[in-house]
Amino acid sequence: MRQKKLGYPFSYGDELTLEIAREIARENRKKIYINCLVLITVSSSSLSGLSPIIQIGLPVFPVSIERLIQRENSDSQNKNRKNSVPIIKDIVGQLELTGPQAEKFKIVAEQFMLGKITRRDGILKLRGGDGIVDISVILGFILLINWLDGTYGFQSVPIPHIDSMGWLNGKHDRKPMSPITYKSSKFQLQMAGITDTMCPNPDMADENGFIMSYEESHNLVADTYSGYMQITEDLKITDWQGAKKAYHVKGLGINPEDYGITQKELNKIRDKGGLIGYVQRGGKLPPIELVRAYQTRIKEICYDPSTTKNDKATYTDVNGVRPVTVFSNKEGLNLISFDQITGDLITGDKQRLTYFENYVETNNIGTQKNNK
Amino acid sequence: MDQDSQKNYKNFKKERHLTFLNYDKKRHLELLKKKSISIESEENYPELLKYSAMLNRHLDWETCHQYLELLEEFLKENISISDFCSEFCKRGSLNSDAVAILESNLILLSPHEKSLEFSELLEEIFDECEHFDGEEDLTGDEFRNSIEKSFVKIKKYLNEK
Repeated sequence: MRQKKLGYPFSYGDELTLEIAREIARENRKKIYINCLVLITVSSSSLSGLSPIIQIGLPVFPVSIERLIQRENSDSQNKNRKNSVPIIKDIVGQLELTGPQAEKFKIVAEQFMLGKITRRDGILKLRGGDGIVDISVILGFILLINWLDGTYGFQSVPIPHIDSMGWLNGKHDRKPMSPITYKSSKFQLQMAGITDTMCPNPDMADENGFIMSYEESHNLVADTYSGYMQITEDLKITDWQGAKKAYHVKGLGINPEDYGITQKELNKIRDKGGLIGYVQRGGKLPPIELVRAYQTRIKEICYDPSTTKNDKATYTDVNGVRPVTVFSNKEGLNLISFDQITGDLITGDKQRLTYFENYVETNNIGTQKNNK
Repeated sequence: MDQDSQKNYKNFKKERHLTFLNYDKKRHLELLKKKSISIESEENYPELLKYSAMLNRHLDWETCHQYLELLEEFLKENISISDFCSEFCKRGSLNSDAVAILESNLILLSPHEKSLEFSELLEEIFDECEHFDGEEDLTGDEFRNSIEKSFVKIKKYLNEK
């Protein structure tokens, strides 16, 4: 009989199944250590006999080490780890590691517990460089990390042999998080690059397709894009505005996929509600590195000797006419416009010839049609 | 728009129309040749830009069915605002890039008589796509209505003799 899901990323019984993947991430949001799916089926009903035989080749990045990094800071602040060294022996016993395995595990685990190496280094040491991994030793290390998190994290979850009754009676079952916590943590995970989709459960979305309130979304955007890049004494590009206009990056020669987001995703920023609405619907936030690249590229264009600065241009839209400063580069057909009142970027992109000609001839950017 | 801006814009349109009527392919070629041997001057640039834009408008005219298809798909609500804006602008950029390729090979096309006005109607849509970010200016419904109006105007224009 397959044992029910445990609080750490594997379960065992008649068959040992390691689902080291997003499946686990979905059920166990706190402990996400491994990115790819590895399935190991073992006929044995216990872990004995497992340790000597499981050696498998894994993909190039079998372990999403990046996911461990966010825990490193709290690890380094954990001054009581020396007192927890007995857990190493405990894990060696539990997994029935062989002599060489135990030795390898102890060395790395002790270094880790003494704070000499990080989680990332620990995994790398155990993973080795040849793509061959001794899974049982890796499991031991994961147990160690889980134990550490359980002790010093916000929810203490013992491993099964420590409180087997507790696991059987459901004491340590995962409790559903409150919707707000779920949404927030979901975004935090997303910002760390952990999830591919933002709304795995459509039931969570309201009738507008929103999984976040306006306020939550607004706060998240404000927190994420809180900085700015100064272009001239009077002009700047706020991170927020850069993110809002990030769908223009391709026009300035930046490939958004180099920053982990597609043009198609960025285009959705323009759908109902703009950037805030996009985030409310669970859209992937434009990475801050992409925003920086966009700001930097704009700055380069503004300071290019072949670029012309025009402080006497206007921008026309439904709200009327406003004074703008425009940097135009005829070689690249780039038009970068800044609102003279706020000093912030309006937009920056490569334009069509006809649009560029319109600007050159009229000194105006924007539509004539909707001007009230 | 203030009165001065409106006046400027009217003058610009008038002048553009005159240039269009008096398109001089030889002069266009001459300007391109000067550019190719790097003697393009600031003085010549506005003139060349006008000719290049004219070629761009002609290509827009040649590909008008693609613009219309996109507009119809959008108005039937088969594609979202973001996809429409993206695809519409992409279509425009491709034509703009094509101009650069044609000109670099000194291949010029005489502008179709309807291309100027057609392009001006397209320009309204381009402007809106360029600046629509879902957050300010127009709401989604206003944007859709505005595009619909432009579409009706284009259809009407195309049905004229």
